[in-house]
Amino acid sequence: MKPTYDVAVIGGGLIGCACAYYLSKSGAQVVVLERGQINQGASGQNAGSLHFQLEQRLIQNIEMDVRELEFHVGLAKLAITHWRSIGAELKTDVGLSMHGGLMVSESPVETELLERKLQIERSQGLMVEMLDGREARKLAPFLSDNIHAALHCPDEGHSNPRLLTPAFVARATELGVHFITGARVSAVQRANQQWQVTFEADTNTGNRKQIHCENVLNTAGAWAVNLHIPLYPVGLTMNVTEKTAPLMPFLIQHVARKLSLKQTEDGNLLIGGGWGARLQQRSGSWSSNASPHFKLESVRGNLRAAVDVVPAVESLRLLRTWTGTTAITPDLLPVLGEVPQAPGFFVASGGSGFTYGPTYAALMTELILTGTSSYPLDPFSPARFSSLNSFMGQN
Amino acid sequence: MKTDLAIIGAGPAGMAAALAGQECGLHVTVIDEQAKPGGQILRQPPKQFTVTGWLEDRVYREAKTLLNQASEKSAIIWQFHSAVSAIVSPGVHDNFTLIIAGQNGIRELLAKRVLITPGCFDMPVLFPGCNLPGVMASGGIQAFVKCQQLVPGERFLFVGSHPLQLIVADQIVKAGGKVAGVIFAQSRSRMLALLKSPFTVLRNFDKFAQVGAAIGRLYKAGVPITFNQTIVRANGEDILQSATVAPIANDGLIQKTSTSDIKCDRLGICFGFLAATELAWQAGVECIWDAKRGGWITIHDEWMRSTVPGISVAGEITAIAGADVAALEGQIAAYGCASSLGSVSLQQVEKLSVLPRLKVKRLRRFARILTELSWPGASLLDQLESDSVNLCKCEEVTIGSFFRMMQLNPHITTANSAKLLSRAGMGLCQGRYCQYSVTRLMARQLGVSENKIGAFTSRFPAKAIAIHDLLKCE
Ligand SMILES: Cc1cc2nc3c(=O)[nH]c(=O)nc-3n(C[C@H](O)[C@H](O)[C@H](O)COP(=O)(O)OP(=O)(O)OC[C@H]3O[C@@H](n4cnc5c(N)ncnc54)[C@H](O)[C@@H]3O)c2cc1C
Ligand SMILES: Cc1cc2nc3c(=O)[nH]c(=O)nc-3n(C[C@H](O)[C@H](O)[C@H](O)COP(=O)(O)OP(=O)(O)OC[C@H]3O[C@@H](n4cnc5c(N)ncnc54)[C@H](O)[C@@H]3O)c2cc1C
Repeated sequence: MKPTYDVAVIGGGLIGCACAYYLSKSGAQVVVLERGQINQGASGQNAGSLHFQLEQRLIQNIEMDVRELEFHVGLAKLAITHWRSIGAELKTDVGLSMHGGLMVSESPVETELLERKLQIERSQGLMVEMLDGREARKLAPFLSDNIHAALHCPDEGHSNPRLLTPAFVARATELGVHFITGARVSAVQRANQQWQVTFEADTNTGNRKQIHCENVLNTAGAWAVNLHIPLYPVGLTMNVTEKTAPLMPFLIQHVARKLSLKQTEDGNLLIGGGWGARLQQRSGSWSSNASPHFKLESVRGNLRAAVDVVPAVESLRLLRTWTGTTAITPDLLPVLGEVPQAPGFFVASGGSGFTYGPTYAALMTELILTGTSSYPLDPFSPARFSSLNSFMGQN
Repeated sequence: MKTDLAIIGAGPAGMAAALAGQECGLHVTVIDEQAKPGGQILRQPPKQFTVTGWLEDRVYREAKTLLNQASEKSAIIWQFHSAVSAIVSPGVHDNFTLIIAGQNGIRELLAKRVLITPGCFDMPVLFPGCNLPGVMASGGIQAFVKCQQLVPGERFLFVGSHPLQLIVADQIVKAGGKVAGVIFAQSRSRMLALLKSPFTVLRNFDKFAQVGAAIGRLYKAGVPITFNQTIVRANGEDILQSATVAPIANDGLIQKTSTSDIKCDRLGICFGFLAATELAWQAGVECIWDAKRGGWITIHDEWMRSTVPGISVAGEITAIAGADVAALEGQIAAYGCASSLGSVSLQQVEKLSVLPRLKVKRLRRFARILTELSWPGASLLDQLESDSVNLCKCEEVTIGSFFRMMQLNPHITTANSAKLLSRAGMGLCQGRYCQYSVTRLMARQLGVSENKIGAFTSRFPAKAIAIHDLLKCE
């Protein structure tokens, strides 16, 4: 029997839906299986920041290899070009704003960190410029007097997570992609030279269905953990203020504190930056359907950082705190590629997946359809977790 | 701060629970955002006002007795001007943490048990012009009159399907205001059906007497009370000037060709009440949909325990049923908490609950009939909708644009994902205003039950809080 689809995508988040779009644009027959609603995971809950400078978490939390960081910067350049064309490609408003971003420091020690970062970014041709405190405040008068320096990246900005994934879905649907929602994938098996994907078609009745395909692409995000991939769920916190008059056109980040801050088109300030939330437990294990519990310490810590950098934030009201779950890998880099022990089984997940999701998707499409990609994905390959994957490929 | 039982809301349910809990030996803390206890039914005048003959009607007697008893108990800790922003369920330790926004910032309260009794609010109804300044919930109008004997307008018109509008109209007239009319969507005979059971009347004599007296006074004041009619549009440039009403035919269809205009600068809307379940949702309590008895209402067992261990519920959030039921449920809930904490034995509370349970059962029967009668009917609500009306006031999402969103995104089948894409429910009120309509509308459009559509995820803070306050007491 010939398989029905060239690719079955597991997960209707940004990466899955963007992959479906690019794959079908290249002529592939694609189905997307989403266990709940499209965009219900990290892709619809994130901050929408377009991080092109090396992020705080990458330069702070781990002593990373300079080559890896350089590789990351290369990807950032690719993503910038990609975002510049995304509106035209999707023929929809996705709330894109690329008016620049400032990563600030509050002390000479922190400024040194900015400088180290600048070197790596410059060496790879990313447009960034160092401003001292005075220059930074001239460009962004809302910044606090405490700001010691800032690294300015004119391409940074934000887009709207509410709109981006649905836009990919709309265009992909026009191209003939099948989206099946309420379809939780429960098994993926290799049989007769093809993949057999089993999913629950109706969670109430437990009714199961199967489809057959040439390739499987797992983009189940934090939930891919169930499918033998070393990804870990983390709960994150976001805060949004009431609407206020236009205050800042920039994305604001901090080099040493967890902070991302921006103003949406509607006037709300979005404040995030990686503050934790508590994953809900059910009988001892992670309860993946439930949204994580917020932590007051996280909310306060996040708002404190925002007020220290932009004092005007203090006079606003907090409208809402929400939490989301995203996937990280042990080395904080994304996993993109084919699982060596299971030919035809691909994974795409992790990393700053909103900023890079569309680019990952375009590159994954090349990889799946041609076996190589125009930007090398080897450093992100699941092969680096081979020891964990050694049981894959057997039934 | 620490307490055995934290009660959210000092209405009849909360007050009765506080008394019962305290009597069973619990350390009880009651939190309410208002300045005084009493809840919705006994909205109290602020200190600087003295209102003579405040709520002197007999129906308020029981609630007032409760108020006096509860206020006298010095062992009960009252926290007023305090809004609970979130209930954080136990993590490592076994206490709940209540996050409370008060006049001096944010504070936390640790509680072994939590009882949620936040009451209900007026059901918003969507029709052209419903967002014009001057169009108000009847409850909002009543709050003015109850607290301050203040008449917030020159010429009132009341429209709806709930008998409460008679009481409010009467209170306006008593306070010296002018009422142009009280309009019911139902037929007169349907309203009178309630009187058919003499037992019901006898047992709820006070309530009938109150409504009867109100009708009498309204007739005397020359206020027309009409049936089989509905609002179809509120008119005015920037402010309400008149209301267009139309008759409803026997088949339930609004006769939009034979409308008439009534001059008024205040329009009171009174189609029923919705349970204030946002805190319950936020704490993870399961709810079910009941269109007639409050929209999303909480599920509970015989001790009023919710689906979250340690959290109980009582009063209007368990189904709209009035002050008496609320108080009895509060009492039973407190007994349940006390026995689970071991301060009294199960046998003891079983005994104490026999009578309250019997009364609740009887009163609920009446409440069911009343909610059945007061329900405007889905068809009427459907007919009032119009594409240009804001479904969500905060984010200005019109019904038309919401439908378009659904059409363009056929994969969207839950309230939450509709909220994410359309913004309906994302604003200041956190969906209090639009959730009922969004749920109804989606269920109808997709041909599924409201329970399948689900509710909006409810988040911290329940009401917006100043960042300055949040950071002040770090
Ligand atoms: C609060 C927060 C803020 C963030 N801020 C930013 C930011 O500012 N910038 C940035 O670049 N990134 C940010 N991120 C990260 C970014 O959101 C994610 O990396 C990205 O959205 C991942 O997309 P995805 O498609 O891989 O995953 P998801 O969007 O999580 O999609 C996975 C999908 O798979 C479905 N699924 C799971 N299991 C199954 C199964 N068995 N069968 C079928 N379907 C299944 C899920 O329901 C889900 O819809 C943030 C994340 C969070 C949580
Ligand atoms: C406008 C209006 C008019 C009504 N008129 C009548 C009437 O005339 N006769 C009648 O029998 N019934 C009337 N009702 C019904 C009335 O709600 C019940 O009879 C009774 O008051 C319900 O008791 P309860 O304890 O459940 O809630 P409530 O009495 O409403 O008490 C709830 C209390 O909780 C507080 N609260 C809510 N959320 C929070 C929070 N997050 N933090 C802190 N505090 C909070 C509120 O301030 C309120 O005081 C009316 C209802 C409304 C909405």
